[in-house]
Amino acid sequence: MNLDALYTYVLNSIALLQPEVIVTIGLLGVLIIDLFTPKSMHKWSAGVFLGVMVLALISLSGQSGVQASVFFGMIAVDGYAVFFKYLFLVSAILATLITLFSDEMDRNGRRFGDYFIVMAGLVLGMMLMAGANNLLMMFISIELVSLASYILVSYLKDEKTSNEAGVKYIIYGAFSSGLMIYGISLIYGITGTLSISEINEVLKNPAVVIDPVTLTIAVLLTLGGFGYKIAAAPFHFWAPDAYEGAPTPVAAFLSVGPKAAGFAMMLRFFKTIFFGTSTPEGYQILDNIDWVSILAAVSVLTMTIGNVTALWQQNVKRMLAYSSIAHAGYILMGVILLSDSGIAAMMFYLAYYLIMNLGVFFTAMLIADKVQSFELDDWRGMGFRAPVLAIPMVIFLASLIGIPGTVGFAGKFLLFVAVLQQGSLYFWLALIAVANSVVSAFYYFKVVKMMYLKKPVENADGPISVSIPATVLVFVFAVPTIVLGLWWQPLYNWALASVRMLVG
Amino acid sequence: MILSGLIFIPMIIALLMIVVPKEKTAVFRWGAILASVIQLALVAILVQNYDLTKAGINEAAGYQFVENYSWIKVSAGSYGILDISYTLGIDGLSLPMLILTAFVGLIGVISSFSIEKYIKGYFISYLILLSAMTGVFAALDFFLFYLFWEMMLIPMYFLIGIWGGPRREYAAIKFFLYTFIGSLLMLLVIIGLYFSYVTNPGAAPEDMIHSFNMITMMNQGNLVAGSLLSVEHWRHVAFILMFLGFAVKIPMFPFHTWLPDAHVEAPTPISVILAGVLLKMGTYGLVRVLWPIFPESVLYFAWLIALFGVINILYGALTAMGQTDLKKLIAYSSISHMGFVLLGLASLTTEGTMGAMVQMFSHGIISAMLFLVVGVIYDRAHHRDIDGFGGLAKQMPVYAGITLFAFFASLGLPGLSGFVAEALVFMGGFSQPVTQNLTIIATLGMLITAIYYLWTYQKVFTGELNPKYTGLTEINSRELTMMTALGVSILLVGIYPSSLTDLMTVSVNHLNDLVKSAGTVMVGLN
Repeated sequence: MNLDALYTYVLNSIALLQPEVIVTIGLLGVLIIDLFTPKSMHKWSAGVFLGVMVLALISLSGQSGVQASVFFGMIAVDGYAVFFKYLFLVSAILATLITLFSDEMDRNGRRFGDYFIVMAGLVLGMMLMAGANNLLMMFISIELVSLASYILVSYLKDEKTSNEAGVKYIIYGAFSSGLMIYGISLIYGITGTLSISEINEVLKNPAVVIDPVTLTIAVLLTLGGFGYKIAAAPFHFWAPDAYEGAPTPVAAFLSVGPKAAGFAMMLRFFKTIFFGTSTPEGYQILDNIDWVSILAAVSVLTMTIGNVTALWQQNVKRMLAYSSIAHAGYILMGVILLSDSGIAAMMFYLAYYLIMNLGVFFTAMLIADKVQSFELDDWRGMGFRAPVLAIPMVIFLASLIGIPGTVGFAGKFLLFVAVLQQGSLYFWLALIAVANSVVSAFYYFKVVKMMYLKKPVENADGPISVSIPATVLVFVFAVPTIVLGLWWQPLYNWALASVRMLVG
Repeated sequence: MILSGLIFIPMIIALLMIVVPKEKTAVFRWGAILASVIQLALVAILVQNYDLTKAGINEAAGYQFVENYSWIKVSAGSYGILDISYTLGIDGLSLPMLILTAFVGLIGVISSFSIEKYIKGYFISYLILLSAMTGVFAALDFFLFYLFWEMMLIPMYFLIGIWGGPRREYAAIKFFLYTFIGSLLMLLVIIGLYFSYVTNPGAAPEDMIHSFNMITMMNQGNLVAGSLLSVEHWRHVAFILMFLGFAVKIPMFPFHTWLPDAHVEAPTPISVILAGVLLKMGTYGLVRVLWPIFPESVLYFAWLIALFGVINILYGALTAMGQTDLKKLIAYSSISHMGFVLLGLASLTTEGTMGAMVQMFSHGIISAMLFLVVGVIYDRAHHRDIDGFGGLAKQMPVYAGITLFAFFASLGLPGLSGFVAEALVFMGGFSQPVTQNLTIIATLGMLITAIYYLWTYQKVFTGELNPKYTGLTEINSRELTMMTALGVSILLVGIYPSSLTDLMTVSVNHLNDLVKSAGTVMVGLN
């Protein structure tokens, strides 16, 4: 390739990464603007950040139908990646709005600028994760997201819990990164390439003999990195501590954005490397290793540990952390099926999970800001003290349980559809998920019980007033939770259309 | 549109109530009355225009007042087309249930006037519950059916949990979890059915329309060859799972334990709704979906269903005999009476099925009346201990008479609706070899029922008046109105059963024919 051709190629690649470029420029823009504005105007950086996100969304809307590989196969720009990039941008916008309502962040008294710089870095990392087609690129983007997350989790540097959360997060993160990079090095050693589609070619080649034990170990180690990002058992231990200590808007964002990115990447990894020509019935597994059983075990373990541990929790934030672990377990059901409908169900669930989980975190944050506590006991009688918050809270919790008429049900329904589409093969998995849903109903309704069935705390101040903008934002989450739960045809169509990934 | 109106008017009124300030209690009370009266009027229109010659069940053309709109339709490539529609329609099985819902719903609203706490929230929950129950009885799309089925969970949780008795928290979550696990099992079967039936069998896989329409699933010609539910043992598994989902609601022994708790803790109007309408959702589910969709499993398990029916009858009656709490006694008698429905349905004869259907209606109004009777005394004496009264007939003669009437109705006195139902069930059960012996045992249940009701009446109403209760006031006009309405209906069905059975005859016969013919054909499938 001569220099001119190279030049054109790079330019074309950059053009296809326009949304990422916008986010990068935005990152620098927030940095510069923050330097030159007086402290009284520091909330402007949020406005700039929101503007950048909207611009990126607009640019992203021009990418429908693109199927391209850029920078020599490093990054894929395909419908699958675009779908996830939409999720990341939308969740970043919503998380920013949540941040603006947070007392915690206000009390902190720091400038917002650095927060949004890191946030932009996180969004950039997630967008790269969705498209990464090369093991090295995967590792770098996952690290970018992780580093940004560490900073955000420990953002309240004057608070002990926030610092503790950050440290725990970093230690677990460093460990998982180590596992992952070791796994990647083994894979590279076996196959001689880092490009996941080339690895696929090598595995398909009957002339190459590969030791299945080494390969299994290598992939299990790599799985450690993904498992950490999506907080799947046994890599979930960081999540409750990090979520509990982190500022609530950050916890909310971590539970939807990076988690979705982790799923996006994990699925691309497995699907591209191990599954050859796709057939409607599923994907053919190339080697003799039973990935499906391994992942099914992870799925069952994750949902069960998440739900059962959540039963004991008395702190709402911690309970929501376990609940988000459990939901990762449900979503994994879609991953292991390795069928188009399974993947679509996973994407669909992640999109709907975003709405309800941001909603539940936001509402919980507003309630906690009023009573200065996430302890369940202090939420007694909230249904009568602050009905504008308690009623949406019930809606979100019902949705997390999966009561029909909510987005949570639509998501779970489509997961079950995908599972049972395989006939009786995974029937047991569906039954375990059912049992888990029932368990989850118990602890989610513990919150409802506290809010409605218990008398308010003795020295409570009576009714709580909630500002109009906060109420509006709560309903921005609550109304779609019901409306989209009854009308999910467009999103499901979109997810189905975005299933096909770029291979090669 | 009339069915949609019937379903959604309570909900619309409930949504309007949200903006009304909570101090305006009259608005909520009379708003709920308005919703119920409109429902009753719409049901009257349905009955007026109902064509008695149409059967329904598995014939789409046999349904009346049909509404059908496409709701969600997604083409999933080689998996075919996912088709969910908003389909409503009624036949002879659903019409009596709609009458019951609207009627008992109105009684419940009137009875709710005694609620003093958080009136706004109460009536909003109540009306949403009413919408959900009505929806279950009119839905013909399984997805829609499931939506309504689950929609009642949350309002019911609040109604028991906020307005209930001392152990309300426990009762509310128990009710919630029992129902929830049952309905999730049902959901799995619904999805299995959805994969196994298509509206256009024989089409290429990608053109197959997988529909949630119940009628599609009732016609075995629509079964996709090689699909999950074309395998006999999986059909039996599916039948059992879905049966469990309904059994929790009926409630069938051993899944009944939520019922005594829920009944005892719930406020009177909610007990009325619970026993009057909610339990019928379970048995309605059996005849609406399970019997026509899995006819061969019904034939296969008929003896088992009858056995559980008889266990319900005897267990419920014997446990009722041991109760000291009047409300708990009636709760267990509900379990006993719902056993007759199972026995009747298992017999698969015209008499048996008709008896079961009449029992559903009759138990609905009788148990509503019984719970009101308990409510009256509880409001005045603030306890329900059977041994704690005595001689009340002297103090409250009218009330004593009404109670006697309700007790007699429940124990199956000829001339009242309970007798018609139980006699039909016995006739049906006895005529079939499968259920014959069990039916003979079941007659014991009637005897035990008579014993515990008469004992209870004796303890509470006869003898010397307990001096503690000389100040009790006689039943008031609001209570009397409700009792009279229910009593007249019980008497009407008892003396002139055709007023009810005529609505159902064609459908019931069609259902039995369908189960017997399709079930026999399908045995040995695969």
